[in-house]
Amino acid sequence: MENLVRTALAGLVVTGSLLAVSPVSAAEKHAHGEGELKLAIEGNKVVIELTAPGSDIVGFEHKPSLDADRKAVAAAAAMLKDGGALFAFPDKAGCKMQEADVHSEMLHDDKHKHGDGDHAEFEVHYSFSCATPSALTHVDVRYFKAFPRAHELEVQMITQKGQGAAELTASSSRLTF
Amino acid sequence: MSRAPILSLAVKSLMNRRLTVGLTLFALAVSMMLVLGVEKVRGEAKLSFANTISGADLIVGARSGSIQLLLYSVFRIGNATNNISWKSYQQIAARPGVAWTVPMSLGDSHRGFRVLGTTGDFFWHYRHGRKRNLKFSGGKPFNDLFDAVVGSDVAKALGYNVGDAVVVAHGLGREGFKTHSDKPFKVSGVLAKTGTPVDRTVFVSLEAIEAIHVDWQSGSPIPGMSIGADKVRQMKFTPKAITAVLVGTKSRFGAFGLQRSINEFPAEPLLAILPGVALQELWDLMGTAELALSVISVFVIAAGLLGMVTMLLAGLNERRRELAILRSVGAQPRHLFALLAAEAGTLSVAAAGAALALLYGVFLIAQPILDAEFGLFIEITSPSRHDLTVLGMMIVAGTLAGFLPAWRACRQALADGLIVRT
Repeated sequence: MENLVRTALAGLVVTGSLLAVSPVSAAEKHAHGEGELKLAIEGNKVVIELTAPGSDIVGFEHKPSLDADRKAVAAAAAMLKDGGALFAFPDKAGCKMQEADVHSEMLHDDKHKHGDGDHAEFEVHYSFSCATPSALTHVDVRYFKAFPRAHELEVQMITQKGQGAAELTASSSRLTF
Repeated sequence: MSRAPILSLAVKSLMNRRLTVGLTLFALAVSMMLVLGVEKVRGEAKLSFANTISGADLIVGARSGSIQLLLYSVFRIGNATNNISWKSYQQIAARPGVAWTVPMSLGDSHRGFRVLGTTGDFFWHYRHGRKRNLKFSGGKPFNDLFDAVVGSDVAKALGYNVGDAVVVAHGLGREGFKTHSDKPFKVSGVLAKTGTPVDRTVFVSLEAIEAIHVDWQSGSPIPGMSIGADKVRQMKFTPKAITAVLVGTKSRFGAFGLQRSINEFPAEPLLAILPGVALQELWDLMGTAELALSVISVFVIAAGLLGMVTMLLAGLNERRRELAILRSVGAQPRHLFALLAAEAGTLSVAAAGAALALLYGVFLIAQPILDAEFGLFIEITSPSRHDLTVLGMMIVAGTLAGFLPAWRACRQALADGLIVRT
């Protein structure tokens, strides 16, 4: 089995340089419609980091200058903060959100600093505590319902089963551990 | 005629044709078993691949692509674009969230197998499959500067045993290129089969990698300068650079943050990857192979069902009399239809049961062999919900496939009457 894998992989080396994509770290990536979700489970604690381009959340990525824009950003931030509504763990697991922090340049009315210019992102950090972690089999991510402009979430997770990757979309929004 | 007698009649009729029915049942059971088995092996192979390196939380290398880093650091395929300076390595190792680090230095080879310079911690921290440790089938980790540990494939292919001498070649060429023949290594340990690239690797200490290059410059021996092995033993070596680092974090929560901070490392461009994530991305790239297996499974089951339908259809001819008699005692065409369909259904159910028995029998026998020969560990578990769904679908498909001979039986019975034409 390993030889087979080796042969297949050897073929990939040729394309390896192509696959290497651009030599930038994941943190620098910014594509509209695509967000990132990082999830780690240890003990009875679940930590989630959500990074999404402003365009997915509010439809624009400049600092809000109009009142309407400011309202939209504040409303979005409030929705993002409601982790219990965005992430539905199995009822049996008895998970409760402990905290949620929303960060975004768009939330600060700082006229001097321009930061990333027109590519503002939202970064949200959630932590949950679960009464029965053994019942943590999956989480239904309701992010796409809340933010219809978002199309995809690239997931990286570390669970009791090890590390894993997944891709969530509006039509397949259940993340199985 | 109520339903139950039809079923018992079906069973009795099947029993009457034991041999052909038995063979058909066996063929059907084997095809069902293959589908389940292929699915199970596929799942286990994927899991085993995804856990090629399950102990490390992060792999750090020079900045390139994540798959490239994975390929050279774990699979020893291709080469690093750059090194990590020893200083950066020490800084990473000293980060607060870091529990342990294992430095790795690649670039030399031994008769076609890559040589990995590392520390003894590698054998302790490396995990594969379901968090399994590396095991020594003989000997122990390296102790002396010129000790080497070989993977099981290396030992098998080159016939190495503990105590044998090994000469490392510079670069990745075959033997006979430029060898470090003045500093032979001794095999101190042989690792048990893992089914991972570890099997194809020669391990030496990090210092040894430096030591064999002590009288070399720019990839060639310095003419007139040769330092013997004993003299080298007394020298102290600190590597200037390494190829990659395995990192274990204190908590799972720390892994993402550490990854981000290493990716933004100020001193040099570094890349940290979550090996499990990169492995899964790599597996997904090979998704066509997985699809091929699924397609094969479908054809296998189609062949099995075809066999059953053929048997039932062929049997109709020799059962003309039986069916005609049933008609004479008052069986309606729909009863005959039900009879034949019940036969197909009974066969399918029996085949599903036999398939499960066969599957577990085969796994019980094959498990130690697969583990020893291929390092693929098949965990024997009770049938998953998926397995049961697949079996259920196959039973339904089998019963439905029985509708064709059943329909033929009705038609035939109507046309035949009681007179048997030969």
